[in-house]
Amino acid sequence: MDYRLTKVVPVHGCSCKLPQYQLGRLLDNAGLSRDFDESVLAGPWENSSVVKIADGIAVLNTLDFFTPMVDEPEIQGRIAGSNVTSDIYALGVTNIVSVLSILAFPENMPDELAVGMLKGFGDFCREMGAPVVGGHTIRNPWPIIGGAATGVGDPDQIVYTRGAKAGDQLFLTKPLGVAPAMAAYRLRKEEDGKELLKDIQESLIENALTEAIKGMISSNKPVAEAMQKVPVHAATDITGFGLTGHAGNMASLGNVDIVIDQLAVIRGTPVLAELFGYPLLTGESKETAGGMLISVAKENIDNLLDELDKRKVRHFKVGYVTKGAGSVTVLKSAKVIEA
Amino acid sequence: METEKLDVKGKMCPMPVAFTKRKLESMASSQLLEVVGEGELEFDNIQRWVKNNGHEIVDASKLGAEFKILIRKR
Repeated sequence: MDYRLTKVVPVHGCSCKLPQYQLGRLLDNAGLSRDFDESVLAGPWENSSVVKIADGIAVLNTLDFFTPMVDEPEIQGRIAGSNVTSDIYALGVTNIVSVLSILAFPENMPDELAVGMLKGFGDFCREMGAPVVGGHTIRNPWPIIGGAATGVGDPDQIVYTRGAKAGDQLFLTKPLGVAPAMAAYRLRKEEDGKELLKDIQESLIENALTEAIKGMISSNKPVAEAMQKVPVHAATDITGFGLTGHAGNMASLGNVDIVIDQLAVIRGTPVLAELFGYPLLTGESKETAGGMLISVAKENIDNLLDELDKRKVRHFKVGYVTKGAGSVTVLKSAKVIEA
Repeated sequence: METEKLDVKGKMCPMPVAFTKRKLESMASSQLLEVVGEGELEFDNIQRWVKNNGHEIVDASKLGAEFKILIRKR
């Protein structure tokens, strides 16, 4: 097939997100970042909105869509499904009652690619017990896939990005490096891309992109289940703002400082990031359908890690929380683990 | 020193930044590199990478969809 999903767009996956500062300015200017009713427990600053509708019941909503990361339509649909549902799981809620899909369809895109993306999206959500019950489709120059998810949870059990406390330790559940791995995936299909990659061992590239795809289509639902078993102070998934962007959000909302002293990255991605000029080892590289960053008190670490292990969720200690006013520091001495 | 030239038109992301980086690595300190390319995204990406890595943007201009960036290697 001549039509390649990743070739018809200039940005891929969560890299098409607007930068945080620009988004904040837009919302402020539009009057959408303030003046919420007290029933709104979380607004645009969280992964999902949370609205309390009755005692013990909150409704969570999120919306997430992006341009393709891969050329295989069903895998692309699964990545989108993983990313949408993750925004509910990030708050420790596993009950997703419905999902709506969004598809943008370029005029010349073969129908089978649209069907494949929708199928992958639907299959992933169904496997998570999150039924796709409707959606919306538009014509658009770029192909886009994603959706909106609605969850229901107990307001007192929800884990917010804002709850980190000084003394907490930080754990990440998927290694970083999706952007350089997937750039290599695209470049090795191009002649001048192959030339750029010629000095990198093929097995290293193959491992990096296989692990990146495997990570993106691995749900964060088991992490949410673990967070329901063990009290944690804060959590967020790591996507388009990268580790430091999302950690920065956690730090500023919690009015604490965060120190990153270890970076867990997909094996092979540091050398790719160096080749492409991506800021992976400063924690700024963009992720798509990334892992969860969890802030947990020291006394609960063992229990949390046990619960993650039971569910076969990988975990990496990446840093800690101190008193402060919202800054994130990646130590120059931060250890890099290629996992 | 002669100004080096690099054309990244039509190259898929992240090649424009990667080729700019590779070219600068092959040049002498203070030497100039003129990069021509296309697209708003790459115009921004190249300039951001250049600044973040300590080089100097001497001039940056757009004409329609195309751009030209003059960089001094540090």
